[in-house]
Amino acid sequence: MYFSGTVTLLLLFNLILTGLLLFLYYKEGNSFAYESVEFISYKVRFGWLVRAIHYWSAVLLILSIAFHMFSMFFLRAYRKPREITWFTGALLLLLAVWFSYSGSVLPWNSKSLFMAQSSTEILKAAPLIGNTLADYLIGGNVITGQNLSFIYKVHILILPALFSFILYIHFSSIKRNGLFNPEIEYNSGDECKKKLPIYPNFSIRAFLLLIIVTDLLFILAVFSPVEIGIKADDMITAPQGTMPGWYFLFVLQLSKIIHLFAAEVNGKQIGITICICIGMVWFLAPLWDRISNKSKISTFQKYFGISVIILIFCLTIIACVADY
Amino acid sequence: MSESNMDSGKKTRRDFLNYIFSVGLFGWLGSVLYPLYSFVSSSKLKIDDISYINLGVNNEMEINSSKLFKINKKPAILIKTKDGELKALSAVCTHLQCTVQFNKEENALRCPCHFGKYDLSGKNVSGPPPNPLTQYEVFVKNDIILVRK
Repeated sequence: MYFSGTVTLLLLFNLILTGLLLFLYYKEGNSFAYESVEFISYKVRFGWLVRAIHYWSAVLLILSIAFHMFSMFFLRAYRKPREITWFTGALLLLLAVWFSYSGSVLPWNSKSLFMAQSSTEILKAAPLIGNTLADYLIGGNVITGQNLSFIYKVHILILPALFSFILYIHFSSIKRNGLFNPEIEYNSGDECKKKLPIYPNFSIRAFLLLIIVTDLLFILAVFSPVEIGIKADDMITAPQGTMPGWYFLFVLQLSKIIHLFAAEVNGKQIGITICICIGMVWFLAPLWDRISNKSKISTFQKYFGISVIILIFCLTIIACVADY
Repeated sequence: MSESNMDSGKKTRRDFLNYIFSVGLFGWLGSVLYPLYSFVSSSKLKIDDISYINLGVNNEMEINSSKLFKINKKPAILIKTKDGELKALSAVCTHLQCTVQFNKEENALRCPCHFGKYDLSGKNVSGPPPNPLTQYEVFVKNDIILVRK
């Protein structure tokens, strides 16, 4: 449990490394993006591997940040004095999703274009902020070859800068308050107040984790490489089974269910509004969870957390199964 | 026991395990670093080195139709014949470098500049063209049409 943050860091390290390598060969723009990805995949030695590791690192990074956040939520690690750590962690999850979303457009193939377009449509349905959000995400209302360059610059410059800044605050806050350890936090016995020495205990465990994470990425990359598809062209029909990014599937499924029961309402708008509201309640946990203290756990906090996880998990599974 | 082994210079079980793990670790490092090195050292390659061109989904291309595309910066033409066979030819007329067109009615390629005519294998049939059109290898993989440069 305590190593979920370390796994996240290792995945981030993998992402940065493979991202820098891809940066050597990737060319932005309508006429070059697809060709350069094709070049990376077929011509550059181990290009397909680096690309697949970059992709799988991004997928696992979002999952591991989410897991890290869920575990910290149930451990109530967001309580005083760790509110800043919690808020910055939640922001990092949002940024990771934004990273993944912008990165999914860059290969500029038909599937990525339509996938990003359907993700954007879901976001645009958000009341009041939808269109403005789309402007910042894709630099316009629709994704075209022209704003591919905008999305690329956001992906390699703006997002890394923002991510690093928030990560710095996250770590500063951890450094100030110490790593969250429930054994120390919830047990007053002196025998529990042991700290794990950084060297050699923590370092060796972290190194073993690095080997496991890297091997897992290699296995995923070799057995499930990323396809190239056909070049993006909005004049051709979308490939069958095009769906938004997997991290948006639960929103899409919720919208479908709402639409199923009330055909006359805008399912997409209500779906995204519900998700934003639940997200806000989750995000603001340090402010409303005043009841729980070291010995007492808030019932609302517990059931709210379990419900959110079940909701996201089930809706995502249904969306995946329904596609088949 | 172990002290006496160490004194006598004998290898212990710990030494053996250390040896095995060290070899494993170096093997692992090599398998990670070699792809990285190879990736970076591919910088001499140029984007033009891609050996084939992706021309879209085979099923979406109509029978008896054509599609112009570029190969090595020059126009080329992909034709799907009445029998569903795919042909990829240079679209540059061998006479005066005009771009040829597919004529459905004649089931042939026509150069609009001086009325040169080629059959679907690229052979110059009539008119001024002195040579046949270059033919490219075309194949379908996972329903995607690919033309080798």
